[in-house]
Amino acid sequence: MNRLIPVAAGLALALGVGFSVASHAAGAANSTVSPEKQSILDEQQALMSSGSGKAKPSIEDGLKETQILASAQPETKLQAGIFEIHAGPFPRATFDVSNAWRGLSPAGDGSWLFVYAGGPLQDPSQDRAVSGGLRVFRAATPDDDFVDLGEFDATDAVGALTLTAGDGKLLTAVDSSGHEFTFDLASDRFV
Amino acid sequence: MAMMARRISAAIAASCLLLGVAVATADPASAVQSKPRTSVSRYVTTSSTSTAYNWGCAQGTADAATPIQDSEVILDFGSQLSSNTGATAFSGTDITYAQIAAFAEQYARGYWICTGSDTTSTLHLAIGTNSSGSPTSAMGTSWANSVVDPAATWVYANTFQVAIDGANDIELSSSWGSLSQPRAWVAAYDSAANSGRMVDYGDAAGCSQTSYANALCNDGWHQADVWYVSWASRNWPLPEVYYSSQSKQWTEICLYGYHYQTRLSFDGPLTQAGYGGTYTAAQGWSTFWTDLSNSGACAQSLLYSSDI
Repeated sequence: MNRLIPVAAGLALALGVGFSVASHAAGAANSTVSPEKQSILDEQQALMSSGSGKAKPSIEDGLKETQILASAQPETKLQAGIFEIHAGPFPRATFDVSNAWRGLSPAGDGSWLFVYAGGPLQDPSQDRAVSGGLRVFRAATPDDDFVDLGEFDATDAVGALTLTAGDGKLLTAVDSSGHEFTFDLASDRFV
Repeated sequence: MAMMARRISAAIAASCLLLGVAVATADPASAVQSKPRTSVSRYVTTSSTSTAYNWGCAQGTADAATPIQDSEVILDFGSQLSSNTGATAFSGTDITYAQIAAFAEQYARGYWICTGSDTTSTLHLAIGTNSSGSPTSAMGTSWANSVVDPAATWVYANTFQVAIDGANDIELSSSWGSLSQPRAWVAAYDSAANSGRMVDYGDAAGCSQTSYANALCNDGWHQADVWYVSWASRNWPLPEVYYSSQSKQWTEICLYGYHYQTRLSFDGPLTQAGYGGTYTAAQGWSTFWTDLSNSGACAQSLLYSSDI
């Protein structure tokens, strides 16, 4: 009878280990990372840890060095007007861009506005905007983070909008049928 | 004798417990894998290295607050210039390849410094462009040789904890370039790159949500083409999962790979923080993990979650 204990324990161990091995084996079988791909990961892992002897500057010193480096850069100067671009600072799946406009805000605070014309795809399986609109962003300076002011749909537009003119106060856009729309930058609405 | 019986019962009970644990672990649908903290990927609007440092510092500070945190971040610099000398940032500003590399370097430096005493958290920093415009093989070569490799060399010499990857937001749209153009870009990039991965953070628009038989997607793409740009050679997928349909499309791409090529291993879902009715990071993670698990062959652990 004494032999039953090691047998039962052995059974438990064998079953446990067996399941564990099976589980890991299944994981290994699921892994499709080729030796070539694995070597890329291994190399990156080694590089990420190879400099662990390097002394980190303090956060304050790091920022000072960066400010010195940045001060040597020329200041970003933008020209107001319409520019060609087919992607905005947002995923195309939610809004497909035709072109864009940028210029100083009519608020007179020195901030910049960035306006992207196009339209929402609505159905991501479709490849064309089904209605037209504008997405508007503001940045305190051209180097600052963009603040999203929202998406403004032109309710009667057929297809995407394309900007055709802008004077810093009003933007003019047309839809795919040639119908013209005017957007007031001060009030963020179509007029 | 009674003691002996109890010992035997205990041993058998332990055996059953072990079995139970093993079975629970092996059931892929039992519980959704816990989502790691979601990183912040960025659309770049400036060449300012000070902005880059501050962005990297913010990510490093956040990761250090929950060590050990491994993250992946995309810096999207927009489409490459037709002159093949730089890219058009999302503000419409043209920035040179050297400026893009310098921006990524300062982001990495900010991350490294601001993780402070946390020397174990790591970051995969992917330097991205997109497939809008007309990408060419020469542009793929330049992205590797003039942007990613120089940035990687600088980062590995001056910091640690950060790995540098190339990346491309490859979208299946004729308005963003025909099928042959992104494929040529990827092939050239893969040949030219000296290290790291090429992360595809694009879509599989128009691809089947129910079939993996190399079905047709948008604009002449097939599932095989999406598999190629996201998993062949040094390519890795961090796919857009903004909607349920995208989760299902990428699951079918994975099954295509499993049955006809090799199965994809995803970094994780890229989400958009719930903008405009899209998935939050938690929703994208849960939906994608569940769809992959339910597929059987593509059940897998995911590594990263990122919002852009």
